[in-house]
Amino acid sequence: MVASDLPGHPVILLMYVSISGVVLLVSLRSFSTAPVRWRATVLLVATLMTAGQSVDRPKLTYPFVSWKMYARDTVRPTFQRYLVTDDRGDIQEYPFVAVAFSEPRALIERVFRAVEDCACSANDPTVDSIVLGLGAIYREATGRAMMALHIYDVSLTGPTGAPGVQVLHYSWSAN
Amino acid sequence: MAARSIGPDGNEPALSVRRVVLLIWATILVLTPYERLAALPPLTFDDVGIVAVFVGRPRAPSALVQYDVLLFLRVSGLLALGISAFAQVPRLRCLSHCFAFASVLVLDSVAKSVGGYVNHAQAVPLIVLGIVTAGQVFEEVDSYWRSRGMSRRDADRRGWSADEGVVWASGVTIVIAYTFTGANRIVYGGGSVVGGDAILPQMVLASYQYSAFGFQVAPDIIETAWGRGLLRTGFAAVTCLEVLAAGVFCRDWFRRVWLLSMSAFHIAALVLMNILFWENILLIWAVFGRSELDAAARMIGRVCPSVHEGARHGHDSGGLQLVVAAEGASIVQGEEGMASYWAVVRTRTWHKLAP
Repeated sequence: MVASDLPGHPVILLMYVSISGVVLLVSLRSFSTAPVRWRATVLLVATLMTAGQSVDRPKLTYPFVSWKMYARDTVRPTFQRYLVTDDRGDIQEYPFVAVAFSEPRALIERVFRAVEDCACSANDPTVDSIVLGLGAIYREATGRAMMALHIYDVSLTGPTGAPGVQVLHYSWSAN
Repeated sequence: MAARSIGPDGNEPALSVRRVVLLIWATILVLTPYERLAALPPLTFDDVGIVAVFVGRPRAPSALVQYDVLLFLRVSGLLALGISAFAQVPRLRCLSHCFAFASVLVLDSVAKSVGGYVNHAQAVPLIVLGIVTAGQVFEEVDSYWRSRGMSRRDADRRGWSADEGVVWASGVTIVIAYTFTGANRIVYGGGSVVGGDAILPQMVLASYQYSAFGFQVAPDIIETAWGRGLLRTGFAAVTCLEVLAAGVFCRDWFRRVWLLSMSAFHIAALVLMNILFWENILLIWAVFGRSELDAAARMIGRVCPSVHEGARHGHDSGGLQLVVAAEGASIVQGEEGMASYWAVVRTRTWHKLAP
């Protein structure tokens, strides 16, 4: 059985149910006098968390998501860089925290997925509409107009190396 | 009738789970300009959970994802969180909790729907906010029955308070989340991730990726043999502690070790990977570290006797209430020696014993 076969496997589902059951039983030792409504609340939360973990589709079961962080043994050795040129000629990384304070990397991944889907380097209506939205946010956050946005894919030089080759994936210009 | 979660004399620990989770969400709402997401085209938004019904189907315009609507939800949600934290009238507090939870649920759903993945940082705080809201609703229902002269035996069972229920349900939520994380890492990643080198490239990558923090420490550490060994060992140890998280309900020493280790782990994740789960750090201490927080307050009381003396005279401010709570805790520990942490947690105990 390889890792890709594991989601939905009965043994894995049994493991999740067992974990929740053990946590409930162990915690009940300290809260044995709990009223029925709190027992029901705790049981409901544990059941929903187990269901969310078992289904493994976080966007469907949110906020009862699957907890699978840093469980992969391989990782794509590239990251994205979004460089903005503004109306004063300054070049800087797009300030994603100005729109997604808690999840800038999730938003970066979402935009890059659109770039990959178009398989083009410029003038895609879908990507351009997202970039225009980012431009409006940039103006509100910084007071400056976004004149150009270049999206790069940067490779690491080896598994634990420094950033190396920078490939331009998509370009947008206000002109 | 005063809600029993804040005790018969109207006191509530300043750092109760309820107040901490309200503080967490107030901070997130202040720092996150959700309304700016309205500038993104509808095709950027995915369906997220049950809120998708309100947010709209993907690739279709939504009435909810509008600048004014999101700004209104953010401002009114913030106001509701503030009212929830400080309102003395139970019914108002209950209503504001419900509104705050609904606002936060919608806003966080919108934020998650434009992400390429669901960020875990807010998942536990959101569930805990739901639990806290449920506790307020339970108390309001009890209050209704009492006002009609009808006492529900279950509601009055051994003086159980919403605070105890919140601590229990939040504790289970946190422990299940950490245990799933550790178990999945072992099952899916195996030896190459737990105790192996697989985590190292992810640390390097996270150091160079865009982030709000900009730490680039991991690549330098990984260059050295001792650094690699330390990171491998530390990651394996953290994974073990995650899998064994349920031990916090059983042994006091393990609870302390777990709290310190997990706090150190989250700080290390910030420095090494630019990932900060500050919400989780606050929550684990609010739920499992209350006796330690009380002890810290006691120490502050010794260092600043004026504050301590003020608390003894019953001044009504959050920080001083904590000292009163700490005194109760010290009496419990003094009387029972190695008193169970959970005995200290129970607010009615320290209220009964507090001077």
